[in-house]
Amino acid sequence: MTVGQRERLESLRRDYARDLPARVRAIAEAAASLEPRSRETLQALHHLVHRLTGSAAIYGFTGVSRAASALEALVYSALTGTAAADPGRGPSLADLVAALESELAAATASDMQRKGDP
Amino acid sequence: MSRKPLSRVLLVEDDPDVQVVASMALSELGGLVVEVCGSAPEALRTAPVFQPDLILMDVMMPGMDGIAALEALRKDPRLAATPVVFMTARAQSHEVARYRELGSLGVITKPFEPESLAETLRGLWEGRDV
Repeated sequence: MTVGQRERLESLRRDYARDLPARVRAIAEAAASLEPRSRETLQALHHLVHRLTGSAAIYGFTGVSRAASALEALVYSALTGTAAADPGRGPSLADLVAALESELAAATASDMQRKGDP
Repeated sequence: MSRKPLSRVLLVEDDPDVQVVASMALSELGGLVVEVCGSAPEALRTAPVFQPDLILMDVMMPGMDGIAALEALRKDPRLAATPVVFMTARAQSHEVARYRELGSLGVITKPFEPESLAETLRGLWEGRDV
């Protein structure tokens, strides 16, 4: 890979990183405004989380992708009706959204540190 | 007899973030001619005109998914023989086996490495039965 190609990839990654907080915020808002028994709102949330799971990993944000993947699995199981019979078992939607926000904060801090490196 | 090298790829992916990096990986890094479609119906309209050597397609897309798109492609005589490679995060062995049964040439697991995407695709292209 040439220097120019590497720079272009890095530029795409920076653009993605810049927009990442807005994506996570959209997911948190969609999760907060989830209407009980509304398949549409659940599908919208799943769509947002599924995209983040895939794209974050491709752009190197593996922690964010992992957290999104856990959230996606929970939303998917709710969509397909395979959620655990006891909703008290395992992390809640709010827990997984909080974990995603925490991973975003860690990724942002790591990115800022990287930029500060000589 | 040498095979025709892979040249033209139709990328079908609904996520703009993945589109941009996959397209860059295939064209700028991989030297391929790439056309991008954001949905399966768009791909079904574009493919006969673009005439790709190979179609690289996301499995999970809203509306018509990749599997339904593959079935539609196989019914079109102009595209019935065009190899399709799926991209998916769901790549458990039974799912990969199902995609192959449906007629896909192979499966690329998401996340993919942009640096090696074109090389992986060329490997699948060169290993196909012709």
